[in-house]
Amino acid sequence: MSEEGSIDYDFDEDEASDFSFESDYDDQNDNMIDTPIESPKDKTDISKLAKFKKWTTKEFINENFINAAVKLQNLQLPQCNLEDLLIMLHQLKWQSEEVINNYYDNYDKLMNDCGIPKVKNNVIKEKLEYSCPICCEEYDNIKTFQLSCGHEYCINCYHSYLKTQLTNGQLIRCIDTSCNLTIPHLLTQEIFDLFSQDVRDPAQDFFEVPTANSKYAHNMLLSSAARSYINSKKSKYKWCPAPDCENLVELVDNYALHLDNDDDDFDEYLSDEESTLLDPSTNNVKDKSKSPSVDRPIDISLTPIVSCGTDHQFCYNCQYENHLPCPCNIVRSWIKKCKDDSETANWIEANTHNCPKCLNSIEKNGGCNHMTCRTCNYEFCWICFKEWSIHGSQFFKCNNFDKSEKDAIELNQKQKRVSLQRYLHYYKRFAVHESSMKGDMKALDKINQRMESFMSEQSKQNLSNLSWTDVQFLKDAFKALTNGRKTLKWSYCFGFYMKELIFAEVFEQTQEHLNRVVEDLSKIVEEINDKKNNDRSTELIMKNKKALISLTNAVTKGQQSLIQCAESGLKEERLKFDLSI
Amino acid sequence: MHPFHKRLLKEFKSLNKNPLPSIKILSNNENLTNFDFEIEITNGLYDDKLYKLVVVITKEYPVSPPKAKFVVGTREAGESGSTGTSENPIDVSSDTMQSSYKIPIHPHIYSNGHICLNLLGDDWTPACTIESILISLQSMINNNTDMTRPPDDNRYIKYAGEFASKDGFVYHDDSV
Ligand SMILES: [Zn+2]
Ligand SMILES: [Zn+2]
Ligand SMILES: [Zn+2]
Ligand SMILES: [Zn+2]
Ligand SMILES: [Zn+2]
Ligand SMILES: [Zn+2]
Repeated sequence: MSEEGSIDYDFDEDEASDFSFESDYDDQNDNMIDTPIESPKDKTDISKLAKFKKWTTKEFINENFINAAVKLQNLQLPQCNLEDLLIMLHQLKWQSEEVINNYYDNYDKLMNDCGIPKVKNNVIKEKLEYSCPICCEEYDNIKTFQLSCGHEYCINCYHSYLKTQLTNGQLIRCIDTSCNLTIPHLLTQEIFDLFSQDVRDPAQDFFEVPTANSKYAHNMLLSSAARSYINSKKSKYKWCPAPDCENLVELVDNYALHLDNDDDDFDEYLSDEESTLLDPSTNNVKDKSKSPSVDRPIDISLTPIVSCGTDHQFCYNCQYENHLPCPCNIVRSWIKKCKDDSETANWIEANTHNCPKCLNSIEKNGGCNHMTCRTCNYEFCWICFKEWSIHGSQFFKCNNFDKSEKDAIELNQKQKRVSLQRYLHYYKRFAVHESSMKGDMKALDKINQRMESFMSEQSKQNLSNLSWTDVQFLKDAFKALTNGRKTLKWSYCFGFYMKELIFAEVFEQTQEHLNRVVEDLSKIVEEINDKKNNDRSTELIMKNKKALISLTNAVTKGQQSLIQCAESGLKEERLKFDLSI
Repeated sequence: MHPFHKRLLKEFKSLNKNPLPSIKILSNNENLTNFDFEIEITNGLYDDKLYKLVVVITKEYPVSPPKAKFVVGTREAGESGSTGTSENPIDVSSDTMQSSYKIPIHPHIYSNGHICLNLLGDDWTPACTIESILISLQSMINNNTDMTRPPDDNRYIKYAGEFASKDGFVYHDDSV
């Protein structure tokens, strides 16, 4: 059964949003990625776009935490200082409206919940002959810290306490169990900085105009708060899945605002059905009741491929690398299939058996059922696994097994073998491109390094003024190669689920073409990187400049045409998937 | 030696000098990182009055809480809680029979002895002590009126490790 269909965003537009720290996104259009998404009301109106905004973690904190506090101070709550406002926002999950409401409706309770005392007296001080009640060390000379409550502990104890408290992203309170006072954000950082190895350049601080954003620039508590805040809004924010990347992408438009209202419900829905929301390949659940049997063609151009601030492309829906030409549901099915060891189990079941005595695996080649284990010489019957001698010295006659049962098993094994071979055919190619991509990346990294040192060497000796703009073609080649591989890789997943229609041949030819140009480009990269050519690598790069540039173009074009081929094939239903494979 | 040996020594001295009512140290190691306590309870709902608690001090103590669990085991007769000082050591009554420690029935104590207590997890701060744990466990059992195991007991004990891990716990209703 196939599961084609189109998206249908059935969001309730009447639901009010309380998107609390919206900024003027129109001013930041350079950060926006537009992906066409069908409008919920008018399905023919493609002009309505789903918008995504790129964030670095730092930008996110500045905009949504610090600027939110600054805004409150400038507008609604000028009587409060920035530190207290940050604490209030933090306590109330960064909702400015809530802060204003609680401030005016229930001031005492708010202050109490936030652990903000009427009179503040937070001190880090140098103490002589101090005995700390936590570590019980007797110090001749030690820094101590206390909040306005006067619960005083040595700075070492406070530091390790802060470190463990950082993990949950919440406000940090006084160590004393019965005390609710909060340690302000700046003070937590001040304590961390006392223990930090890297000393900040005082000159830099001198020239820096101390703004709110710079004061909180490296605040670890705010970073941890951002992490837990973003993780709690999974439908609205997605971390870039690239390793070591700390960027995120936000879904910003009306849809997102509606989602924000019942985030919890949505996340539950996500985990149930996995995320079908932005998935062009599946029908929206709510819509299924209206038109349960209508199979609409898949439109992979609606796949929400976004890229983070450092240009890592990924699918917002799957939070997985750019998997075009595959639609999201095919990707999910494939990943599940690959994870499933039942495939391996099938393989073993179809081709081998274990000796019932010594358990070494035996592969059956011919048709004779009288087996002799090569390891232990045990003779047994391939069909019933019992000792051969009980079958009598006669010509083969297994009474332990029904003939029809035997046939069924043989047929079953045959089918398993065929389906497994098919899977292995595609999986091997998928896996090869995945590992080649890693190989390419390593090679590219090396070339990059060599190029850099070569250029700095050249400029030192005033030999030439080669700059990175002159070797932009190299960077383009790197990018084309990795992206081309990625598309190729996923085209084999596509192929596995593809029904055998006539147009499939066209897809395979396009795939083959991309395969060829990717391998050609990869070969040049490999050659440049070959140890034998160690001293000539930069020379080789410049010599191959023309070939590199033309292959880069060929790969990019080939990648685009493969995706386009899949896109139009699916749209016109000349390509179809069979998920029952 | 534990990095916070001084603190442990202080806690240990204080436990010996001002013993808690109905709680005694059965044994401990030299480094003061492993303790066996015997806790006596007065709740009439319980047939057994004496329970054995193992407390293990982790490397991260006191920033992280110690690990604690109830254990089963044999108990030497006459060695009962702080109240039962045997007047006649030669008395051969039922007291000399070896009896055993059991896991106290409680909606926050699993049948494998693991304890679901906020103080052993999120509510712990370095200002808490071994004593705070002993006191809150004792009062938790003394004030119990619900003689049942946690609702997820069967499932939990199947997958539990040696000690309850902080991450895997969902704290039950605190009011119990
Ligand atoms: Zn201390
Ligand atoms: Zn305090
Ligand atoms: Zn990224
Ligand atoms: Zn996807
Ligand atoms: Zn054998
Ligand atoms: Zn047989």
